[in-house]
Amino acid sequence: MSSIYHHIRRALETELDDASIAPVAYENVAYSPTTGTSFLQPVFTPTTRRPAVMGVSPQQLYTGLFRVLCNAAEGNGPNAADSLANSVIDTFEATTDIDYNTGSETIKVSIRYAEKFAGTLDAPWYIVPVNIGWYIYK
Amino acid sequence: MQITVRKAQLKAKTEKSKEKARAQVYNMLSDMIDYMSYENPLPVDTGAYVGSMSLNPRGNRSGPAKGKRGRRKADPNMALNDMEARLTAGLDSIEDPLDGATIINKAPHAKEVHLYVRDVFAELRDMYGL
Repeated sequence: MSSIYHHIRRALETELDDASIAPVAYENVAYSPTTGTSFLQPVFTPTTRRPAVMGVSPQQLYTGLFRVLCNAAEGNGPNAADSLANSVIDTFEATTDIDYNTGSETIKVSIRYAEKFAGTLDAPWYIVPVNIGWYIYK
Repeated sequence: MQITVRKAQLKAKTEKSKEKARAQVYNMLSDMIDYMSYENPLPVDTGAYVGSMSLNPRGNRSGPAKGKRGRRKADPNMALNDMEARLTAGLDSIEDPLDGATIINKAPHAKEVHLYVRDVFAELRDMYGL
């Protein structure tokens, strides 16, 4: 059943939102950032969906990335964006399990790793990406 | 009681293992090309980004660097087919896959694509544990 993808997305986005690190600009939702005010931009990228076992109707292993772009004001040094990135990494630390109630059941999205990459300047923002690897058996 | 292993026997076994490993690395790189070209195709607008993707022997950072300015919209199928053919030729030109390979994109706007459109390198790292 491929309809699990939106549940995985909600689980990850809810976890990010609940951490209250900074305002979140969700994918494909209009967001007008205020210049100088930091914000986070999550990008949900499923990569694989493979049978976890052999046989009929096997359990599936879903894997993917949850990318969070940490946007901070340009020209103020890297600390603000780094600090956002650190908070995101702490929220999605490796081996963290995220339980999410879909309404009919509780799913568990597990975090494999969270890693930060080099910052990039894209005026008026300085952006530090954090890549979070996730998986779930369903 | 004793077991004696001949040097020639050991050498043959080592060569066999190496051959298997070589095939595995080749297949992994070939799977990466398929992933980018067909399974989860890269985004194509002007074709400059996919036209700047290269697969080289490890450490070789050469390849086309196509800018998007002044280019018309490209046919995604054609652009992806070209990329697939170029990357496969690059893979086949690697003498020994066990020496490693480098996949590089030298498009001037590659950073922008990776940041705002799609970071395929992060996906490949995630999928293949690189």
